[in-house]
Amino acid sequence: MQDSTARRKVLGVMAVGAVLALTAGCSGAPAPTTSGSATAQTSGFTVDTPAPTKDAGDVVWATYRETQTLDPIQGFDYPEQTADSILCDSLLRQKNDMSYGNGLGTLTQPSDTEFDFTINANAKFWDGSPVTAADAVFSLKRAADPKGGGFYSAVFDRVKSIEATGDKTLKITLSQPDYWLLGELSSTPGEIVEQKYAEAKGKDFGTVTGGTMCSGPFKLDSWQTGKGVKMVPNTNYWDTTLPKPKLTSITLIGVPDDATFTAGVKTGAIDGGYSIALSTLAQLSSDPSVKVYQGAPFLAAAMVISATKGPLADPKVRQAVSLAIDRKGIINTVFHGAGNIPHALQASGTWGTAVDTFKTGYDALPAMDQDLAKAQSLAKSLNIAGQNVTIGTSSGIPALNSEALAFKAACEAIGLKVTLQNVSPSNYINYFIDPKAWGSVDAFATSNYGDYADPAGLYKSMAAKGGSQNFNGWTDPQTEAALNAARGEKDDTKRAQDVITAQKIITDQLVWFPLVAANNVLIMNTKVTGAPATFVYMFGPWAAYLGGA
Amino acid sequence: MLAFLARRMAMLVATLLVASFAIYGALYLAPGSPIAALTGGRSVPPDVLAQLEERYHLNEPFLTRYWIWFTSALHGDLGESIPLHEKVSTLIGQRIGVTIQLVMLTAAIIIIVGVGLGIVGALGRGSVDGGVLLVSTVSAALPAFAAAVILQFVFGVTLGWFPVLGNGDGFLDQLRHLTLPALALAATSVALVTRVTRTAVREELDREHVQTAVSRGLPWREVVRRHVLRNAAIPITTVVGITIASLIALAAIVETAFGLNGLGAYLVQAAQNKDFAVVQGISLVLVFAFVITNVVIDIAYAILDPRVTLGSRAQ
Repeated sequence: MQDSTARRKVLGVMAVGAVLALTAGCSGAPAPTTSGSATAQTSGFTVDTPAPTKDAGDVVWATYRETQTLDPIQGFDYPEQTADSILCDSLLRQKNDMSYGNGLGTLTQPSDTEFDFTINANAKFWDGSPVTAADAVFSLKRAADPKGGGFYSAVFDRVKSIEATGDKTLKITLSQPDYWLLGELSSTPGEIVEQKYAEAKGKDFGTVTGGTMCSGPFKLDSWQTGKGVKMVPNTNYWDTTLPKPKLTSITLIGVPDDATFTAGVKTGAIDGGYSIALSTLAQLSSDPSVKVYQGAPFLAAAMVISATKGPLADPKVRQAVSLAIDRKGIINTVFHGAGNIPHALQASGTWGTAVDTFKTGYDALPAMDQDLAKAQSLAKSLNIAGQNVTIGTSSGIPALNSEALAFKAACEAIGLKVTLQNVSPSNYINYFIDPKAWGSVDAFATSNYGDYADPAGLYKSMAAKGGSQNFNGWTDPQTEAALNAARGEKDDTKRAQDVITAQKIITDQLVWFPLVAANNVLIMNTKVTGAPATFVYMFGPWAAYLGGA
Repeated sequence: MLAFLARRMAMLVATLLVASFAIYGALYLAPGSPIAALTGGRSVPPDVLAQLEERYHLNEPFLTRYWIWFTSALHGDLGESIPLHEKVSTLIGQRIGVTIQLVMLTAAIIIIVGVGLGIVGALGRGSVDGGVLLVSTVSAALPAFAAAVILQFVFGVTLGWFPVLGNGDGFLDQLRHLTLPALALAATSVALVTRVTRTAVREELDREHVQTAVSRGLPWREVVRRHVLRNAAIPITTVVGITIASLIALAAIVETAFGLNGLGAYLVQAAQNKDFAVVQGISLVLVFAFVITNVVIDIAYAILDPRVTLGSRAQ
C-alpha cells in the first residue's frame, strides 16, 4: 500500500485546481523515452537518464514521508530503503537495469548448498576500518534472526549457517539449494554494517541518535528528524567502477503532499523524487522546468483476494470480473497515464535476468483488456447474480479507494452485489496483518513489491503455501512445484521458465487480481540529471549517478 | 495579583492532568496501530509482528500504559517516538521554534492588519469602510489550506518572490520562508478580527462620552486614542486572544503545505501513526500554550480596563 496517498488530503485536490487555474493548460501523459542499456527492458521505458555534466551542489530529494530509520533490517518502506541503498553496500549489487551481480562480495559456489563470498580487498567503512567477513557475518545473522526485530528473517529460512572462513571470506551453508537468497543478498537484507559500531550503539543503532556505519558511496553527514537525512559523497569509496556523484550533498526530506512536492520541484526547492500515483503528473510532464521519466513497471497494483468462500473464491468469477473491469480508467484516474494494461501480476520491471524468456512468457499471456460482453456471458453461465461480495477500502487513501471502486463497478457489471467496508487509513494495514480483518472482506487493494527483480519475489509471498501475503490460503501443487524448482535452479533461463510456469497458473486463476502495471515515475528539476528511472533506487547505489545538468 | 497567578497555575496543572488522560485515552481508542508506520502497508511475518508489539508494550492494558507514561513524565521523561526511537522532548524542542515563530508572525499580522483595518473601516468614510468590508469578506472565504496553495503557486512558483517550502537558515531567511505560511494562516483570522474591531470601534464612536469629548473640542486623535480605542479594547482583545490561542493547532495545515518542520504538522503525522508519546507530548504543549494565552489575556483585560479586577467573578 502506498501510505503517501493517505496524506494527500484536500491539498492534493486543491493543488490540481489551483495549478489548472494558474498554468496554461495541461497536456496528456508524456510518451515514455527510450534510452539505456539493451538488457532487461521492453521498449519504451527509460533505464538511465542523461549523465550529469557538472556539480549539482546541495541536492534535495523528496520521499513521501520522513525517513524513520537507517537500520537496513528495519528498512521496509520507500524512504528508508532509498537512503540505505546509497549509504550501505549489499553483498551483491543491483544495477540500474535491475540485474544483479557481485558487489561488496564476490560469489563462488563450491557446491549446490554453499555460497562463498570474498569481501573486496579495498572495501572500507566510512571510519576507515576495512570491511571484514566478520562484519558481513554479523550483518547477515542480524537480518536472519527472527528475534532481532528485523523484517527479513524469513528469507533466510534455508540457511543452515553463516560463518567467516577467513578475514575476508565467509560461507553460507544451506539446507537446500536457494537461488532466491542471492536476490535477497543484492537487496536490503544483504546490506552490510560495521559490527563494532552496531554493537556499540545497541538499541540506538540506525536511529537519529545512533546513526549508522556503512561502506557505501555516500556517508551520513547529519540527520535531524524533520530536517531530513543529509548525505555526502564518500570520497574514499572503494568501488572505482561506479561513477563519482557530481554533487556536494544530498538531503532526503519527507514531502507528504502532492501540492508541496509539485511547487518544490517546479521551483527547484526540491531537485527530484520518485513518485507513485502523483495527482499533478500531467502538469509536471508539460512543465519546462521539470523532466519526467518513466521506467519499467516494478510495483504490483492489485486487488488482494482474501475470500475463501463466496463468489470471489471462484477463479472463474474472478476472470469475469477481470474482463469487466475498466483498467484504462484506473490508469488515467489513479496513475495519470503512467501505467499499462498488465498481462500478469509482475511486469517488465521485475525481469532482472533471462529477460527474453520472461518477455516470451509474459507476452504469451493475454493482455487484460476489458470485454464487457464476454464478462457478462461468462458470469451468466456461473449463476452468481445477486450474490454478495465485500471489498475493503479506505476513502482516506484516494489511489487505493479509486481502485476499489473500479473493482466494485466491475463486480456489479456482472451481477454481483457489492458492499464496501470503509476503514480509516491507519486501520487499512490491518488487512495485511490481522486475520480477522482480512477474513472480514473478500478483496482489498494493494501496492506491493518484492526485494529484487524476479516475479517470483512477489509470487512466493502470495501464491506459495504459507507465504506471508497468502491471505486466502491458495495453493496449487503445480505452482508449488514450479516455485520450488525455481528456488533451487541455478541456471537463470531454466529458473525463469519455472517461474513462468507458476506465473501462468497464478495469472489464470487470478490469485491476486492484477489491476495495472504501474510505471516507475522519476521526476527531476532540469538542474539535475542522472538518476536511474528504474526501481533500483530502493536497492542499489542510484544517487552515484546523480549530478548537475 | 500573586493570588490570581497562583490560582491560575493550579488550574493549569489540573487542566494538564485531565487533558493528558483524555488524550491518551482518545488515541488508545482511535483506530489503527503504530505498527503500520513501520511496515509501509505490506505484510510482515507474524513473529516479527509479535516482536514489535512486545517491544512497544502494545498488548498491555490502557491503564498500565498510561501509568508508565505518567510516572516517566513526572521525572521529565516524556517517552520516545515509536518509529524514530528519539526522545519526545528532543523532538518537540527541534520543532517548537518554527511553530512559535510562525505563530508570532501570524499574530503580528492578525493584530496589525486585522485591528488596523478594523479601525480604518470604522473611522473612515463610506468608500473606505466598504473597501475594508470587501477585503475582510474575501479574506474570510480563504481557509488556510486554500490560501496556502494559492499563495504557494502565485507568489512562490509563478512569481518566485518567496520560497515554497522549508524553514530557512538565519533570522531574515526564516522570516522570508515564513511569510507565505503566516499570510495563509492569518487570512480567516484577520477577517474575524477586522469585523469585530470595526464593530467595537463603531459602537464606541456612538457613545455619549465620545460625543461629549468631541463637543468639548478635544483633538480627534486624542478622542480616538483615549476614549474610543481604550474602551473598544476589551472585545478586540478577546477575539485576538482566542484566534492566537488556536493558531498552534491550525498551523498544522500550513506547516504541512509549506514543508515546515513544526509542531502542528508533526502532531498530525504522529496521530496518524498512533505514536502515543509524541501525541501526548505535543498536545500537552498545546494545552499549556492555550492556558497561558488565556492568563495573559486576563491580565491584559485588567491592565486595559481598570474596572476589571483580576480574578473577579460576575455578581
